[in-house]
This record gives sequence, C-alpha cells and structure tokens, in this order.
Amino acid sequence: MLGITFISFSVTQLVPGDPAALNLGQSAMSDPTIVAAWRAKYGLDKPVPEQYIIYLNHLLHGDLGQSQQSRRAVSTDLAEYFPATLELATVAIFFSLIFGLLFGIIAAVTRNRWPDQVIRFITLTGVSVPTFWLSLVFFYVFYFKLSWFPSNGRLDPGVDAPSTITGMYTVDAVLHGQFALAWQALRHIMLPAIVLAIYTIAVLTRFTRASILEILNNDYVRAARAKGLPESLVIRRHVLRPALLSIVTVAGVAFGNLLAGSVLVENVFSWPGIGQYAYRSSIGLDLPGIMGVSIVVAGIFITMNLLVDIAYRFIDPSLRHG
Amino acid sequence: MALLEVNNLSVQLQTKTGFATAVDRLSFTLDTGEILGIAGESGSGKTMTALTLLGLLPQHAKVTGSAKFDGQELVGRTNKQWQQIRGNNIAMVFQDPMTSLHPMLSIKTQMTEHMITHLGISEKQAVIDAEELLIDVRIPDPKKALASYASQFSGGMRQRICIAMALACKPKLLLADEPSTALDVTVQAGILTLLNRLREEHHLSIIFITHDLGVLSSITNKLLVLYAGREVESGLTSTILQRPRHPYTQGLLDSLPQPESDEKLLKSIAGFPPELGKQPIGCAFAERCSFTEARCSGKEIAPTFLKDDHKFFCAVDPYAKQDRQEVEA
Repeated sequence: MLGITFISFSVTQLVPGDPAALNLGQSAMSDPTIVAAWRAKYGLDKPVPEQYIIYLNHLLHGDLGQSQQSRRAVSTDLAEYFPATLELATVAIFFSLIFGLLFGIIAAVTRNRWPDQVIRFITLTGVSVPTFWLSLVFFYVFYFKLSWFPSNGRLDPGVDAPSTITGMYTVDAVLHGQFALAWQALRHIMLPAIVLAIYTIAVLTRFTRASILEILNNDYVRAARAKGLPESLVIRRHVLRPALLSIVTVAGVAFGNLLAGSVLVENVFSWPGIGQYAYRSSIGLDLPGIMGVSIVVAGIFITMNLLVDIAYRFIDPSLRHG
Repeated sequence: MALLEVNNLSVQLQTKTGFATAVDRLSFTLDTGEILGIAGESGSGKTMTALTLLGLLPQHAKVTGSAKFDGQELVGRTNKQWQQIRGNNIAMVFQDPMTSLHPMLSIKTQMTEHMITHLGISEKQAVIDAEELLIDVRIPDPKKALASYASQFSGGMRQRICIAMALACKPKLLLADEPSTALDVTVQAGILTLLNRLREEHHLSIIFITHDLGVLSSITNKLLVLYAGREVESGLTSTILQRPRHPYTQGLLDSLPQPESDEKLLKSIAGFPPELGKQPIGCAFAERCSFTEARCSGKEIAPTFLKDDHKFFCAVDPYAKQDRQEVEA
C-alpha cells in the first residue's frame, strides 16, 4: 500500500504540466499572487518530499485530500463514483462467470468437434475486438437503432436516485422497496455490463477450457472413469473442482480489472464510475484525485487476492485438513 | 467356461503419422480365481491390454478381435455399456497411488460414489460397507480414514485404499497395473500378500501387469510375456521361470538381480524395443537377440506348442537342446 502511494506520487510529479495552469483561468494565471495563493492552498508551494510526507500523514487519518477539480473531499467523490463501478462490475462478472464457465465446459468436453470450434472462434473474436469499438457498436445498435435498452447514465433523465445506503442504485431501490426503480436501474446497467462482460467471458471461456483439458489428463480422472461413474459426474465432481482453482484466480484478477473501472466503456455509456473519475483527474492533473483512485484500485486488488485465497479453501477442502 | 476369453485382440492407436499397432493379435484365457501375469518392458502393450478390457483407451483407438467376459463381448461397447461393467464387474488398480487418488475429494466420497452408482445402495449403507472394506485391507481407524484426504496417507496406505476402492462393488476381475512398482520393497510385499489373500476370500481373478518377473513369480499362476505388443511366450509361471524357451524371456530373467552371483553389474538386454508402429514382419526381438538367423525376419513366426499350454514364438528355439539334455539327465 505504501509502495503504491509512493509510486503514484512520484509518477504524478514526473508528468510535465502545471496543475495550476490547468485549474485556473487564463486571467488568473497572469496574476502571480493568485497562482501563489492557489499553490499554497493545495500545499504545492512546499518541496515535493515534504508534500509526500504531509500526504501520508493525512492519509493515516483517513483524509485523502481535496480534489482540485470538484473542490470536494476526494473521499466524498470516491464514495459517489465507486459504488457505480462496483454495481456495474458485479453485474459484468456475474455474466462472465456464468457464460465463461458454461462455454468453457462445453468446449472442453466436445474438444475439437463443432461446438468447440464454434466457441473457440467466437471467444477468439471476443478477446480480439477492442472494447471501445464494441461499446460504440452496441450503443448504436441496441440503443439507437433497436431501443432495446434505455439511454445513457444510471437512470432515466429526470428520475431521482434512491436515497443512498450502499450507493448502488439497484440495491438501494430494492432496500427502499422501490422495485420499479430497481428494474429501471438494472436495465440501465445491462448494456455497459454486457459490453464489459464480453471480453471477460471470452477470457474465462478459453481459460476454463484449457484448465479442464489439462485436468482431464490426470491419473485420478482415469481412475474415476475406471470406477464406471457417469461422465457427467466425472466432469462435475472430479474435473471441475480442481479446474476451479485456476479459474477463480483468473476470475479474481478479471473482477479486479472491472472494479478498477473501464474508462472507455464508462465514457461511452456516461457511467459516472471510478474510470471516468480517474480519467478526469488525470486530465486535470488533480493529484489528490489520482492518488485517491490509485489507493482504491490497490485496495481492490489486495481484497481480490484475499477473496481468491478464501475461495481456494472452499474449493479444496483438503487444504483445511493440512 | 473361462471368465475371460481374449481372442486375436489388436489395438491400434492414432499417431501423427497414422495408426500404430500397440497390441498385436493377443489371445489368452483366464479362469475364476486365477492370477495371470503379463510381463514386458514399458511400451510392450501391457497397460494398453488392461485399458482395452476396461474401454479406457484414448479416443480414436481401433480395437479388433474379441474379448469375452463372462460370456459378454467387450469389444465394440458404447460408453454407456462400459459404465455398467467398469468398477462393477471389472475393476482396476493403477500404478501410481500418489496420483490416482483425487487430491480434493475425501476418501469417503471416492470410496462410496461408485457403490452408490452401481449397487443402488444408500450413502449410509455405502459408508458402512466402505469401513468394512478398509478394515479388510488393514487400514487402521477406518472412520478417520474416510474423513481424510489422499495427502494424509503414505504411498502404501493409498494403494491399499485404491485396492479397497476397486473391490467395493465385488468385481469378478481385477486388473492390477504395476500396483506395487511405485512402492518401497517392504510395502510392495505387503500389497502382494494382500492381493493374494483377497483373491482367495473374494473369489477374484486377477490380471497382474508388471515388468518385474520376480514379483510375478511369487503371485501368479500363469504368465504371458509381451514384446512390442506381441505375445512371445505364455504358459504356467513355474514352467516359464524354470525353462524359458524364448530368448527375450531368458533376457528378462537374466536381468533380475542374482544375490549369489559374483557379478557386480546387473545384466541387461542390449538395444531398445522397436518404436510403436514400426514393428517388423517376423520376430520383433530379432534386432536385439543373440541367436538371430535369417529365418527370424520376413515372415510371421509360427507358435510352438508344448505341454501344459506352454507356447512360444521363436523360429530358432535356442534353448530346445538344453531343455532336452536336462530332461535326459
């Protein structure tokens, strides 16, 4: 965590550009006293190492600083943007796991026959197509042409968000008993979630297929077949369980990536998530904003690793017996 | 009627260059309660023969000939038909107990799943039966063993569990593919004793596959020696070990350690067996044999039959004279 703050901090300092120039207007820039005052306000007048120490000190007290762009506390910003991404990423990983595993298993058990060939072709396309292109195409086809899905954003224009509990609109709406609103929020999530899921589905499908085929070569699978078990039971009980070990590792990283926000997809679908926030902070050289996002993303990956480790123990009960 | 009648059984495996013969026109029979040893080097088709009898060959393998088990034809079964026989009437114990038990499933699951599938008994009953089987193979504290995982047992213990698992549905035929090779010598002896006792108690027939003639001599009644997928010699174990007629069998016997001998190095057979799919017409061993003559290659070697079903495939028959001399003396 400390390493992450150090690296983000240093890299941000190395980027050429003056935050003041980006955040103050042209006329303000021509007045040195305003510029100096602005720098002093954000502590940018001090030497860089001192700035870092001050930042760390604040961080220890839970203060992520103030965004130069939104002029609000970074923690307030993140609390608003992160749940939107969490909601989107959760729906996306949900689709990815269901279809990734399903297609992967089908491909593996029908190896080199037509279902496998079809799935391999589609997933190869899935990993090769750039997401930004896919976002635009989906947006054009399913929203603009077919109107299957509602417009941009998290809700229809003019609709009030449910009062915040988790910050995830679908969950909050359900908790408040506003089921129509929850349904609307869910419909808004669908299109960006599908676009995000396509790549992850493709990756998980290919990975599931490969890891099942590897497990199938094991002696214990042959031993299970030698016992005359139905093939479906052999796959379900003897093959899938060990295959899941490597699948959850990949799924964990994929979920982490989704949670870190997708700048492109969030921009195309005007999704006010962490990806958009990171993008805007970087463009504005908003140091506290960038640092805030870095810390959240680092935290996400550390949490995902932890969750994956916990998942291991559920998948492989022999680990619990030492 | 014999329990198992194998006639002209051939197995061809698909390779990059086409089909290669792994088992070449094999014939043998096995009666109830008998132990047949199949001996040969790696790649001689021993394991392939066993896998054929369980329908577990790799995809695209071609099987011809006939193998009748209890009057039922085994060749040409569909996967569904195989499932009814596997683990139920014919069971198998594999070479490496370290890898043939599932690492993530409890012994209980692995011991009972095929009992539930084949015998249609409840899980509760299956657990009771499994405990008895574990006692039968001398596993201490069977209740605790059932709740454990493979990694908690030593190699010998795992192989005992594998044997118990194989016997769970009371099969008539047990295929033991080098069941003691991966184990320590002392543990090995224990496994052999166990198999022999189980054979008597359960009226089992066993096909015991190994490259170790020393192991075979202590446990089998009949012996089948394979080389490059073909039978080279077969008959009663005692006859073959005392008076082998094929130079390859003699070579295998010579390569056993001789405690009384002064020689420090073990004898070995020079050269390598022919590659899969490149077996010559005529005797496959001719290239490595010290008695090779012109008549060894070019045409099929006809079998020579002796008394007690002793049979061998050698055109030269170098040990014939010696054999007769011994008889005269």
